[in-house]
Amino acid sequence: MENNFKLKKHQAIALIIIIMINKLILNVPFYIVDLVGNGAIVNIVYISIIDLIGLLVIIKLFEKFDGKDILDISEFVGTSKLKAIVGVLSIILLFSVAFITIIDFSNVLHTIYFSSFPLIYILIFFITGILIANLINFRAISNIISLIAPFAIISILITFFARIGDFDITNLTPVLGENYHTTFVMGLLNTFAMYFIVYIYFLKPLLQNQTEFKKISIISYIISVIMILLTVVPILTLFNTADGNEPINSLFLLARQIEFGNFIQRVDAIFIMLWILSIYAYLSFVIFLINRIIKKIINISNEKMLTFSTCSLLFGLALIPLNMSHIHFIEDTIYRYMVIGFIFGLGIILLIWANIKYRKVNSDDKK
Amino acid sequence: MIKNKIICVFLLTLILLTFTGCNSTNTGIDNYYFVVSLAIDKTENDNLKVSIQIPASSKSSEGSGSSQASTANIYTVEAKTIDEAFIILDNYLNKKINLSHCSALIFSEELAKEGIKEYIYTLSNNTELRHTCQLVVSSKTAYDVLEKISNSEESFSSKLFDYLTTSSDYTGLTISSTFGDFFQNLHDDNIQPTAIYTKFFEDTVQSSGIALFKDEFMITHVDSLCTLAHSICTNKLESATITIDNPFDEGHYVDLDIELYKKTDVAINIINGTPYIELDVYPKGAIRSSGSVFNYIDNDNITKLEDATNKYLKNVITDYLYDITKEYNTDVIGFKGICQSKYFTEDEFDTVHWDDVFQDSFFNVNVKSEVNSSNLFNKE
Repeated sequence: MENNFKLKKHQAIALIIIIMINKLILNVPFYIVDLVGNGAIVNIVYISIIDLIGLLVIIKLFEKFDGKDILDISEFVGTSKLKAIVGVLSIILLFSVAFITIIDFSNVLHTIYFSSFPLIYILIFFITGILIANLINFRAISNIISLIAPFAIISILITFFARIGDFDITNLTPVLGENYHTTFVMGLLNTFAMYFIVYIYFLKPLLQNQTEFKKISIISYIISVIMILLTVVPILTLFNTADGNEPINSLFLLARQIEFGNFIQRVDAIFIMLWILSIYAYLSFVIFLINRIIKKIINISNEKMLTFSTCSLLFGLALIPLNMSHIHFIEDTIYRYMVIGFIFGLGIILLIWANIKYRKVNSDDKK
Repeated sequence: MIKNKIICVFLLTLILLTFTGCNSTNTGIDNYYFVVSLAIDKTENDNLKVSIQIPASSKSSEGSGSSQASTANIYTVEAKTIDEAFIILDNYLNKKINLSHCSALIFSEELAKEGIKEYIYTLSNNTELRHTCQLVVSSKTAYDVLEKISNSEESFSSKLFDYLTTSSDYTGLTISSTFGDFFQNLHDDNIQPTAIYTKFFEDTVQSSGIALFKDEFMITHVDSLCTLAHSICTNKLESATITIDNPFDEGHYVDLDIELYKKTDVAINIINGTPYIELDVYPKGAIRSSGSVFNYIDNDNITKLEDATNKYLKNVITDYLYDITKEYNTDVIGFKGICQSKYFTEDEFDTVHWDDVFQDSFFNVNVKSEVNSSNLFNKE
């Protein structure tokens, strides 16, 4: 019963929001600005349009496959071998995401708050939480996500509005950045910012009502675009990161400067607590999804006990001694191409292929 | 199900073990010295002389009863870097230095002229230091500022440096220049940093205008009147009192409280490769005192006074603008950003060669003041 839990509309939207917020927490706004400089706002509008088109195409291509995710579709297209290949690729992507998330955020926490304690303590703190959440059930993960998501949004809104008076609007100009090529050609790489689209490929079987798939995707998309703008604008107008200086965590840097008179200062501590919870919730969901994919590939009945293996693997990977430059290289370069490749390459090709096969099968049946 | 619950309880207990904060003996508040101000000078042998001021809280209950009033101790060490100085101080004081309550960061003028980027970057990596910490340049050594503040007649308070700068809200003769602003401007190509400049008068230290920087190097300092012009141009003016010639009574003066009723408009056009900068300033004035002859219930008199105000402010602002361009060549107002906003791409803006032509800028300042007679008597 627990494994068959399906997401309601608000739970699905909250889930996607948490996915996006985690990307925003982990310096994605900085990577956007770093690539296109002052042209970031125009670039976000531009990539938002491209991502929207991509999302609408994906939704359209998914129309005929109710209750199916990309693995089911790959099985429909080819054989179980193709399903296994797509599954392994998905696991690699999701594992690298989880690995980067945990190691980056643990390093941020270690640098800012717990510099005198071993990093392994922070990692154990996260891994144990993820393990517990996955041992309970998906309903627990979803409920926690639904609870945290509104607060996480509020934290980003406060971060934006608390310093709105200090924004130097001239830093947003020239509006097209360095030149047209940087903003519109190189800037295409920023399509990775709408990272949540990766999860759209796995969302359908998790939904209670299949007809709400389109609505959920569009609402999540709109909220995601707004949140990206709300985090990029302060970074550009307050720190002018287009100049090349790289903060360890841009959202933390903003939160650190929030003060409401002399009375409320250093609210970053509250925000960090919220962000720890959202990282928890997000990683729990990623591990749940990895377990689910493994279950589908190797056909096991209960994926819960897989959690021990996946969490151990994640813990082991997180112990690899990487410094911040390695982490940022993986996030900024490798990860960027992986996400774009999955969303606009593998995913869409499989869906188009599946639709062609679906038509062919249907027309053969009619004959 | 029960098995799962047992596993979860076990794991939760494991999480508790990771809460190690209270386990350590090094994290209690008693193990810290909270620095109120930090002063950095340079020694003759090119080392840094780092001084910290720590309130001696044991005397806080004496006399005034204020929890903030106390005496202060100053500790000074010589080191090659700031962090090395902190380590020496930690070792000497047997407690850890904590900058989370540091309200002022003071550099000597000599050091500021040699460049302070290195020190700002070092301190920006310190998570304890607040961005609201005031950044001050001292005309003598930075250590002297700490000493004068400690020896001042006021009971020592962590807010003493705030008093030094909050007067910017009502006098307009100084600015509020924080560590965060300075760090931000240091990274910003469009505007150059500024800081509070302090001078010594007998036994006291007072803010006296602003220190102008170009990149990390202090170029010069300007007086209080230029500070007023700076605040008007950057829209940072809260309130100020100016004294102008009384247009109705030669040899006498009129005091006006001014503030901006509308933001200063800046328009920049490149004419024959040279920036032509137009500023429209909108001050609102209220008469504070006007000598023995006045009748400001009369509209014509108000107009005459407005003209006199316009003329006065125009001269002050124009002089300041020509000083920062022709003499000091530092864009502390941020004209570059305003000019840049007229172009679509940086490549297009690069054709202006702003950094080369900024020095040749010429200005047209229009002041459109509105004066009200707001005191108890309009006519005498």
